[in-house]
Amino acid sequence: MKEKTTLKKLLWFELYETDAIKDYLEEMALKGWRLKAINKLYIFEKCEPQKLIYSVEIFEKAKRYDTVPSPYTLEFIDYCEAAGWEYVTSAGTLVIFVTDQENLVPIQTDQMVKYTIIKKSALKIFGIYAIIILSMIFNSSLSHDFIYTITVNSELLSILFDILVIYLGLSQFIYFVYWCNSAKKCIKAGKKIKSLNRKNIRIRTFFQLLPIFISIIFTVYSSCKRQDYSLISFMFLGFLLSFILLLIGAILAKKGYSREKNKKNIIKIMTIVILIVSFVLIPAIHVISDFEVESHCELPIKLEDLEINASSQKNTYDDVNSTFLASLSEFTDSFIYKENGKRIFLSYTIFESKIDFLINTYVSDSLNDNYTSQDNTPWGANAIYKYKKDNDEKIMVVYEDVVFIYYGNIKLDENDISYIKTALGVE
Amino acid sequence: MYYILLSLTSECCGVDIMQRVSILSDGRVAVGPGTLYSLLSRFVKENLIFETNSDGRKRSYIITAYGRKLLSAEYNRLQKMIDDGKDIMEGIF
Repeated sequence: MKEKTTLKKLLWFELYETDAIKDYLEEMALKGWRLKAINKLYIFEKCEPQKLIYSVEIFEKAKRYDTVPSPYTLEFIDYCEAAGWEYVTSAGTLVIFVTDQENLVPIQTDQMVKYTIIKKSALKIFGIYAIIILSMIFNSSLSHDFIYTITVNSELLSILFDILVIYLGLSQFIYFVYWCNSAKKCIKAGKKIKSLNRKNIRIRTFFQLLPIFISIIFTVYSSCKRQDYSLISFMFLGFLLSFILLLIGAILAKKGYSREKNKKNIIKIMTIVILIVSFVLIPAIHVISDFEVESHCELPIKLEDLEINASSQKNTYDDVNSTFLASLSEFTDSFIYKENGKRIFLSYTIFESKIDFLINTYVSDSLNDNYTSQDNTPWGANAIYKYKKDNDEKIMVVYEDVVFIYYGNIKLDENDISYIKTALGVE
Repeated sequence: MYYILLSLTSECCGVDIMQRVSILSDGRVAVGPGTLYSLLSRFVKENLIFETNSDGRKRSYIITAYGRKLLSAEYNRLQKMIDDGKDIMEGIF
């Protein structure tokens, strides 16, 4: 078997964990793997096992998306090389050096300067997070129809996404504040700033990624099980966009992007992105959205079911939204007698949920002053509310897991009620 | 900070400051290249030093009048500390 000469590792470090990267690279060198480059992945090449000393630096003047050193970074590298350090690679604001001399002057000799650089760079990232989170909160404050949110999958998915982003941002921020405090204590005591070791970073990464994995698995599972095309198409678009972003990342890495150097490349890439979006994504959204029109849920109660002899020229409207939390079905069936112009109509809403809180919220949202509590028979429900307007009647029937709101001008008799109860599955 | 400003009382290229600091302090003080790079940017911003020459990536600096004033204040402070301890220390040794 051919021996492996390169090794690629996906590592997730925060900016304030540069010492942990240093320890990891030194461990790898002892095992015979020397860092060659960072291109999203950490790429190692086989070497003789050796004791090397790494220095992982954050260079403030570099830009996060630089994949080749900017002129400022090159100047910084000159300083470090003049001090005897060998430049290895750089990625974004990270610049990595190595040496085999044990007594070489460290790149950062002042812990306060080191702390300030790391803090500033990390705060910039948290600034971006704060803007994203604030815009999410602003966005969610615009749409506050609770029942709509819990019964439409794409709405729930976007809330789930919001929660995940907030969770990631907050958990990292709390950890960052903790790091700042312990770093300040170290500086005060004249010690070197400590950072988490690899094992602790693994635990931290695991807990940060766990909710994301659970959410993805859960979303894919529930959407496939329900054959919910709108959700599947929503996710498909998400994957497509992520793929395009990764592709752009790969192109940038290959082109050797540096904001100072390659402004023209950026213009070219942005043009390609706009073209892709306009010629591929927009038609794709139209094709995919065709799936959403077709309802896959059969509504049970129609005019004919209540023994109303309606002609084929009746108007019917139905709408079904359902998620794992709740489902909301709306149905209207109406018909006008040609002879006397009298309109017969039947309209109802069925809200289903296994969660008591959601049932109670729906009932209290739907109730208004016109409703009066009614006798339970023959519905056999937990509660019944009714109100009358001219000939039209509105009845809200609350069962344990189902709320049925009837609105129409057909007087429901016992047979109709019994039929409806069977259709609702509460008999 | 003291040694960097001392080195820049005459024009000096950024990279050479490390060596100059080491010579000035007789090898006792070593300033790391990362720390030096950050401090030089900060000193320029705070008008303690200014850039005299830029030859490609090699930039040279020299102390400003304001920087000299601060350096002299620091020198006097250190001198005063030495003077304060002089009688006692000379009495002991």
